[in-house]
Amino acid sequence: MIEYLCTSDFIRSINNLTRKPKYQYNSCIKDIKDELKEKNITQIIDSAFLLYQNMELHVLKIRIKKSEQRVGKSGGYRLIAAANNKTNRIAFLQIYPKTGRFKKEDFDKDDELDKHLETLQKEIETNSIMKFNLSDVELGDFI
Amino acid sequence: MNFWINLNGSFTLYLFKKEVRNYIMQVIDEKINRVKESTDDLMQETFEETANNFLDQANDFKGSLYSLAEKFNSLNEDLFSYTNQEKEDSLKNLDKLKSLLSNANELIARVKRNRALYSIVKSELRVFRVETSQLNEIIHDIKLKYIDLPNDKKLREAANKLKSQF
Repeated sequence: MIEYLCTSDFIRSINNLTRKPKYQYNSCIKDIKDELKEKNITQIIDSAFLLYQNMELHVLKIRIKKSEQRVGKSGGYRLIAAANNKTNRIAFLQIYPKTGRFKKEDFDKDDELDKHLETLQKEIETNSIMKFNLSDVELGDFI
Repeated sequence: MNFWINLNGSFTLYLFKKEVRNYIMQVIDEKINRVKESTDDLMQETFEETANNFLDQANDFKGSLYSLAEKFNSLNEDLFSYTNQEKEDSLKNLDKLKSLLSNANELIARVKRNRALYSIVKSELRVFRVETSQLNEIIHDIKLKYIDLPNDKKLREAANKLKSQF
């Protein structure tokens, strides 16, 4: 079974997106669950865009369909996550939408992927990282 | 007697003139009606035919734009899985993809400049833009994955540090 974690950066990005229902991002946790449930870690790694790999550590960009609008995966969310296929862990680092008020075109160098990995490492070290079961988690757990 | 002849003659002339005037009026009236009819016909033709022609062309364009968006979607899906594995070919395709994106953006700009057309194909153009944006993202990701991130020293250090704990 996959162990899911999320960093404070991810929680911040979820809070930012879902603070007003009129922006139509409230389905994002449900959409993440729909995308990842019933997949094992190898399937998740294989179906995502692999941004960076360092041995068993994979940094992924996962395309998530946005159910609130008919925009498919192309116009959905991008979930940046770190996955380790040996320890069977996936950590959510950041999420951003491709359409709507808070749309972001690309994840680029300026997004400082190294900082997201540092945050993950520090939060694991200090045991302040949020762990959850994907099938039980709801939007309210993050906000 | 002379008086009566004169009077009668004047009266006949008077009636004749009146008849002529009435006739002329009738002719003019008919002419006005015909010209008005022609004007109305042409106006109808201008608005209906031109509008119909425009709507026909706009509808054709709408269909073409939607079909082009589907082609872009199919290309994007192929590129998405292909660029994940094939470094050399992905980098080789980069210029071609940039040129395709530039043409697609030019098409979007031209449609937006044509206000009448834009108002009709707005939703198809939105779908098309989502696909061109996806292509832009793929181009960006190729550069990020194969050029920028492998040379990012800080990222390598952070990944090395994280590996043992994650």
